[in-house]
Amino acid sequence: MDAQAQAISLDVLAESLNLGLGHVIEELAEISNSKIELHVPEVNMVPKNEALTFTSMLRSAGKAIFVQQRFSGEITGEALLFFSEEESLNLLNGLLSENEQSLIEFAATEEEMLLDLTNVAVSGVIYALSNLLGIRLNTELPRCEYGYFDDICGSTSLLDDADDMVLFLTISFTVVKKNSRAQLMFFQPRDTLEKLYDHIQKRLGL
Amino acid sequence: MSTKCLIADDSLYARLVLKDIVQRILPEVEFQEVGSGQQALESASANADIDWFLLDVNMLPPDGVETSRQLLAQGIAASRIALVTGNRSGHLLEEAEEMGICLINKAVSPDDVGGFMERLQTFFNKG
Repeated sequence: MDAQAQAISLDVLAESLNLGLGHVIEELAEISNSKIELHVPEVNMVPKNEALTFTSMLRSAGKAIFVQQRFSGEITGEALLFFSEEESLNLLNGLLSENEQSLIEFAATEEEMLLDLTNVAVSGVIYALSNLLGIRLNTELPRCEYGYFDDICGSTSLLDDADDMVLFLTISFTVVKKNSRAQLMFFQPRDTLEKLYDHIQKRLGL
Repeated sequence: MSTKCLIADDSLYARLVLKDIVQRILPEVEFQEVGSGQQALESASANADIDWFLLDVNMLPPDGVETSRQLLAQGIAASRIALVTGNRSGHLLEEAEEMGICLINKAVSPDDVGGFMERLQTFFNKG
């Protein structure tokens, strides 16, 4: 894939993130009764070892939440989301009212909320992507694990081969009322971008 | 004399879609494209003859809301500025209404392209 093709594919992916999360933000604003600021998404193609370097902060942060969601259809792929434990608590505390915060005392509640949130976020992005490109995509139910990074990332092959390239997407948003910021990181295999470009070419008549 | 329209959006794809639709409404339109709020402000200062400002919200700083505020402070009429966004939050709508500018939701599906065109048409008619 040439540089221009890659640039426009990444651009469409970033716009999909924006549009998909545009809907999610409305829901989050209602849940939190606060304005939500969505920051500009970053979409890059990076070698796996760079992505792994980036995730090293999660290693040093202790336990992390790891959410895996597969999607299929005309493009098949896998979205991996990582939150550090601190970030996930920031996020949940930002979204919940003061009275409800006492509920987040045990991991089960936290896990359930993160799964719901992830499902909404990934589905929103996939929905926008499938609509922009006019293709059919389905999401499976997300799987969530909580533990140390090295233990939990072993269940995906996506980050195994350090020589290959992956799509690396970062989204962050702030719950304004509580100044609580959360960051989601998506990893996708390189061929997602190549398939994406095929569809963009058809769509734009390139 | 042609109409001049500034489109500020960090997504090339979003600008392509928007240009295509605006051109169907205003066939003689001349576009200026920028990728950030800062570039939009610079372009507005350098070109006093821009008729319409279509601004993305979530773009490189300043965002569309802040860019609108600064354009209003420069004396540009609110009726010539629209936020064109995928963000559907009520808070954003309130901010746009407070400034007296139009908020236009981007099309999120091919089925909504007609609706998107109508929303833009309404904005141009009001202005």
